[in-house]
Amino acid sequence: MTGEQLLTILADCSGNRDLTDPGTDALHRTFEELGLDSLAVMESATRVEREFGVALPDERIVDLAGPAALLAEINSLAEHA
Amino acid sequence: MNGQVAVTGLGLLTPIGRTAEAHWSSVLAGRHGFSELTRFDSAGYPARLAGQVTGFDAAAHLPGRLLAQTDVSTRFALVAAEAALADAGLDTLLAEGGVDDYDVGVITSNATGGFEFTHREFRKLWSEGPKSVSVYESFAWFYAVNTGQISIRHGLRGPGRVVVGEQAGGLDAIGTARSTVRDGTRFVVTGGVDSSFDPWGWVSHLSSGRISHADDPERAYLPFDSAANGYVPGEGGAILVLEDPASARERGIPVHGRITGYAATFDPPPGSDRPGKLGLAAELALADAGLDPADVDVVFADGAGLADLDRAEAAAIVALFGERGVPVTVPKTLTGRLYAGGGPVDVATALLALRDGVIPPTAHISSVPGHYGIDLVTGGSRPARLASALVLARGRHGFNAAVVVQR
Repeated sequence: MTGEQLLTILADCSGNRDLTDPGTDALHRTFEELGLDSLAVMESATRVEREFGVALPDERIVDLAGPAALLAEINSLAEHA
Repeated sequence: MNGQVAVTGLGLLTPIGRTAEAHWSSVLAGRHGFSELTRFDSAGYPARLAGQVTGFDAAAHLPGRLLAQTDVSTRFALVAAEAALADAGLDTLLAEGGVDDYDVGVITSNATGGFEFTHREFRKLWSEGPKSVSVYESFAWFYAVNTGQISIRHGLRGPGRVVVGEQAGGLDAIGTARSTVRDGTRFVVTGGVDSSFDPWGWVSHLSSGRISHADDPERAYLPFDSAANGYVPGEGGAILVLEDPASARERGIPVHGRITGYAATFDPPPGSDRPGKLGLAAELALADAGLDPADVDVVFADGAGLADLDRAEAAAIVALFGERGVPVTVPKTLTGRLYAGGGPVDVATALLALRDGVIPPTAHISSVPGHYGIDLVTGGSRPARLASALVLARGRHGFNAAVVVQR
């Protein structure tokens, strides 16, 4: 999965369109800075599971700081699947 | 007086106006908001008229983040709340740190929850499976969501409550908010909003057996008329800001009026020989306000639009005020019944009526049975010196509530 794909999903699920704006550099900021609460991230994680077949346990999500960490986690799970 | 609480903010969103003043001009002009349902293809349904809020662009008022997680009813509530806060100058006060955020509560009522959002998510559940259901469904559906979203959006950390009492609940919210202000919270944002015009919501309205099947908008909702044949459901509602009167005085903010009395009662079970308790709610609310029936200048009736319920309400009014003893009106004949929104819209309308010294008419009514014994204001507005109004509401399954407003 690419960073762009993840940000599109995060933007769709949270309703925060600014996430896909390159100027935002959303990938390298924290969920908190981006105004994404845990529900928005959970919503995005279920979408990732549906579209990419990677199941992310809910309890892992709370430990992740931002989109970059989430992306690394998804890609690592995909690799070991 | 100790029981008085000031109303310093009004935010309305109704089928006949997207602001308090727009609603009030429509009321005075007798413009109804009924049309065939446009939210879904209603062909084949036995009833098709509804009071719909039109021309509302949620994206113009709310950030995308809130659009993703809210039902249309919550969007209405958020926009009405924003208007009420602005009207009260409370948005500015909060921004300037002029009020402790624990000193502003939120108490709202909702009768049908986030039906449209839920209908969409349930359709996904049935057709795509549980993984497809939005995580926001966890709160978007339920009665407490409007209180929660208003509180989160404006950072209001005072008492947060939700009251559910079908179509009486909006008055219960205002009554509870009044108690909360009297108990020491400086501001309470209160009222009620509902919307449930998706196919699932519509069927739930129809199942009550109380919805008008008429297709002429001017003959569909005729409370107290000999041709009463049910009611037209509407959507929207009102959010009010209640404030400690000393605080309002100190701020020098204009006051729309005061909430001075409230009571709620519950009817005996179906089949009981005992009479309904609407009259008792009215009586207790007047006692709470320290008023005699003779002090009341106008009654905003519940106006169910079904002969047996209209007869019972007329009898309760006559028992308290005497035959033709007080002008009675049902301006919701223009909006339809707004569920939790109905009572708060009537309270707001009553406050505007007191301000302008005019009783708005009950629209579309031509023949009130003489034996009802009520002085129903019909035809046009009636100018009058108005100092106080009694607002009544009933909810299906036995809820009764009454609120007294004064200038």
